[in-house]
Amino acid sequence: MIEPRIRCEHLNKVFSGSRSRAARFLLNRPPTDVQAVRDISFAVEPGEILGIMGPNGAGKTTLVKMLCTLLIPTSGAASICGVDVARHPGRVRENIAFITGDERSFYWRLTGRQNLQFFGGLFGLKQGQIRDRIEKLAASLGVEDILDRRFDSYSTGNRQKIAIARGLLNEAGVLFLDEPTRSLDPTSALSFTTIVRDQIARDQGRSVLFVTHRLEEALGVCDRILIMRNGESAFLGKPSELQALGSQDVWRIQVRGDWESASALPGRPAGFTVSLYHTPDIPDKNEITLQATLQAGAAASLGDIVCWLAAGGLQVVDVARMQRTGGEVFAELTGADE
Amino acid sequence: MITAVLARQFWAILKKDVLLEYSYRLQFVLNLAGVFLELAMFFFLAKLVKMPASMEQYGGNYFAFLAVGLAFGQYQWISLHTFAQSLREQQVMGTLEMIFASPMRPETLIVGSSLWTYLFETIVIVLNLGMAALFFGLDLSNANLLSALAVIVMTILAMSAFGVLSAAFIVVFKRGDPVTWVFATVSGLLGGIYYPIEVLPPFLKSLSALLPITHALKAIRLAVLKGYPVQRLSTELIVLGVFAVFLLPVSLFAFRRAVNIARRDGTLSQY
Repeated sequence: MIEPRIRCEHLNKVFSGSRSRAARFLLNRPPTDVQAVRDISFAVEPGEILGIMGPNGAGKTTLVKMLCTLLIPTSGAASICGVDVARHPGRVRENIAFITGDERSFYWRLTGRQNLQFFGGLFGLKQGQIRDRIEKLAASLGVEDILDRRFDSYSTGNRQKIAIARGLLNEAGVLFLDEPTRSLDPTSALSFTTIVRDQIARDQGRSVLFVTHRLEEALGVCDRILIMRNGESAFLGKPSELQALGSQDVWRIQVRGDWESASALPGRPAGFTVSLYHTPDIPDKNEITLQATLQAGAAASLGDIVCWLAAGGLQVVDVARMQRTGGEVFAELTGADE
Repeated sequence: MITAVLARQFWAILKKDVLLEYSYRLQFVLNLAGVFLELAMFFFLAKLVKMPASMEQYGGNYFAFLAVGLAFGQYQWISLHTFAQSLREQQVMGTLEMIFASPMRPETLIVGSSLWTYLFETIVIVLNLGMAALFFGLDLSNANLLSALAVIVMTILAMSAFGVLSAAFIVVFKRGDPVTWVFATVSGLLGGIYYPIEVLPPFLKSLSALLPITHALKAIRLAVLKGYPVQRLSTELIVLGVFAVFLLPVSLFAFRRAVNIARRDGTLSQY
């Protein structure tokens, strides 16, 4: 059995809101602990790309930082290539590379080449190795011409390309990419994600954790996607499974009447979920829109739900069948439409 | 193998710091000009000071006493500041997390970050003493270079323990470092930079013996101004060695612990 390159088991991270009990006592304030990551479990095999998505504050970067040993988990376990991230952070760092969209993480008064030489040295690479790898990476990322210019003269996109080059310099077995295409133009972003998928993962068998806000990018590049919401896992599966959620039977039903009392009525058809759907403009303030979703494999029909609503005293005004986009499914999973 | 990797990491940090320093060339020129003006000021001030008997052991020349004390007193200043300052610079520049995500150990970063500062300061001290000799008649003909080198190495080892402790405070508390505050204020009074400690009352004199700078300055003055060989400086060198042997491991442990606290609290890159 092949050992997963990345393994998380019931990983949690709680940030303490107050430094000490004494401070809380003196300020008379309750503890303000924040649970940034809650009970996250997954494994990433060699050559696999796991996409991580979620709204701002969902816990994505905290999760990546724990796996990069920059944060210590509060509870649970995580390992990289079988090495525990909390117990042996030094050994873990020998096997990882971290690419972030933060352009501040460079020495702006040095050139791109000098920056790469510095970080190559930290990885313990020999001068010849560093030189050869810089040339190769610069050619594949199209930054040969700017390498000897000062970093502060680069465009945002070129700074990001140097950040990518830095992450690929040590040829680590596990790559953590935190929004690596954030500042890239569409062509460069596509070129980079193709390198990640075809060369880094497929050909070289390296494992990748790919944090992105671009759904199309995640669907096109990742083997599986983890969607996080409030620190928890809201979805973990293949892109095809995520897309399949969009083809579920969904209706928007415009009704008139008291939804609150009707929703409490027993006898809701099995397999249906019904919730209030917020529309930007409502023609009649007495009318509301409901969203009814039929779960895959359920035997109920639209007729059953209309009968149930009518039994609850609601007058059905209009019914429209919806085909949801991937973005709408993502918004539902992350709670962005609530 | 481990040694080779460590050497490459130290070299990478040293080269980066040299390149960054070179990008601020005007600062170097202004620093040297400042040193020259300071020497001139103390040269004229020394003409007013009547020699106490305690100065005899250092050759009886107050300007020479001051010039050597001020120059080598810089090792204490940079030992207390360089570790914390380099960490803080990395925090502000946003490079600290990327460095800590590399296989380099935190101790390597903290020691490596001081290499260029010590090297640079040694160059400045040599230029400082050269100017003092050339323009203000400082007599260096008796200097024992081997002894001076031994004292410098032991001074750096002893003093850097306090600097690493100071860096540990910066990692956790970001600002407000009691180690630097205590040493910077107390050393000026008790360390013997501006006057021989023999002029202090007995109580303060015994307190001054607790400071490594007191022993370092006495030894370096005797080596540079009186040409004492290493054997005759053994007492001071042993005292500095004791400071280093006991405090360096403690300070490195404290620094590692501080980094772990910052990793737990998620404050590594905060400043």
